[in-house]
Amino acid sequence: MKNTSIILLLIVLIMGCTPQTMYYWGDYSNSLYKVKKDATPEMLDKHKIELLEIIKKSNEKSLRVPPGINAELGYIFLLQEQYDQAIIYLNKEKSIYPESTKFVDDLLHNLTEGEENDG
Amino acid sequence: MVKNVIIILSLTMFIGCATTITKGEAFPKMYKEKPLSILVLPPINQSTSPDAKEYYSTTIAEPLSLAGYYVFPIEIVNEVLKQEGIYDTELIVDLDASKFKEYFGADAVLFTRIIEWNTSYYVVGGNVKVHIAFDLISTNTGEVLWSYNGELTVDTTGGGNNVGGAAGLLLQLAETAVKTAAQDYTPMAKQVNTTVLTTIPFGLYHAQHGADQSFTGVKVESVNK
Repeated sequence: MKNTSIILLLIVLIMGCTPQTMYYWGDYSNSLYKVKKDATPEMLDKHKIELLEIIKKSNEKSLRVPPGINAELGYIFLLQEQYDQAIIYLNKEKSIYPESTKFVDDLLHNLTEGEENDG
Repeated sequence: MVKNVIIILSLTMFIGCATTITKGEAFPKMYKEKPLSILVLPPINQSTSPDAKEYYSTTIAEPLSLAGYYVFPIEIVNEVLKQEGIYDTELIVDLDASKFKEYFGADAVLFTRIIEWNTSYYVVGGNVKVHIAFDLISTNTGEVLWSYNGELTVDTTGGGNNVGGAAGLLLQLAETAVKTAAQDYTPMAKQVNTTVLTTIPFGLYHAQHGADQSFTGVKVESVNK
């Protein structure tokens, strides 16, 4: 009984001391590395899936999506000419991290300009 | 016996040589300016490995964000810089840092220099070495806010080692290094990043932002001259 209490106390203490995980980065670095090593559309698609997974897991864990993830995903959608999705994710970056506003707005500006030229 | 004495003696000398100071003493400008967002520039590659630049770029966003900073999406920044013809950071060292405030809205820019990213072979063995220097420059004042460098050498000479713990882990890395030379630099670079970034004052997104001035692990000789 006494032992159990001590163990429980220890667990509480340890959990209390463990700093909250800031972000969930998943397999980001390795996934991007593979794109660098083998720059094919297939690899880029796999990386895109990893980015979506990072966003999903972050939401499940109630964590802020790491800096740049939404933007990078938006950028891949842009490369794949899925402009609506690109705009959605670029705007998400801006809403989570207002300090990216200038950067993202410039990208969005170029994007809408490009579309107008196409049309 | 003699061997033990030598080991103890060299340990003492080693400890004696490493002067450490606090983050607050080493990087006071960081606490004064409190940059929130960091733009990581393409690495300056001084190593003999042409791939190092692209590969290293994949390792830095994660640890830098965990230190509490907003890190601009490196892949997009690289593309923008390529389009502007300044991807070769070797050329932009002299560029006015305030431009990155103007064009990107960044509070600071991080220059990384890959000094070594090499495999060396010698008669009885070999080693893999990664050495990276970091300089964080304010886009407001152009001053150095934080600078540090770190290196990791993994002996790839097989066998004969009986070390445990962290060193054992390095050994494990080394064994892989022999098999697939190119692949193994990135885990080493990650380890260098982790070690070096323990010395950067925590950014605004970190729970201990502003409260780490008394952290004492900053080695004076690892601050870039």
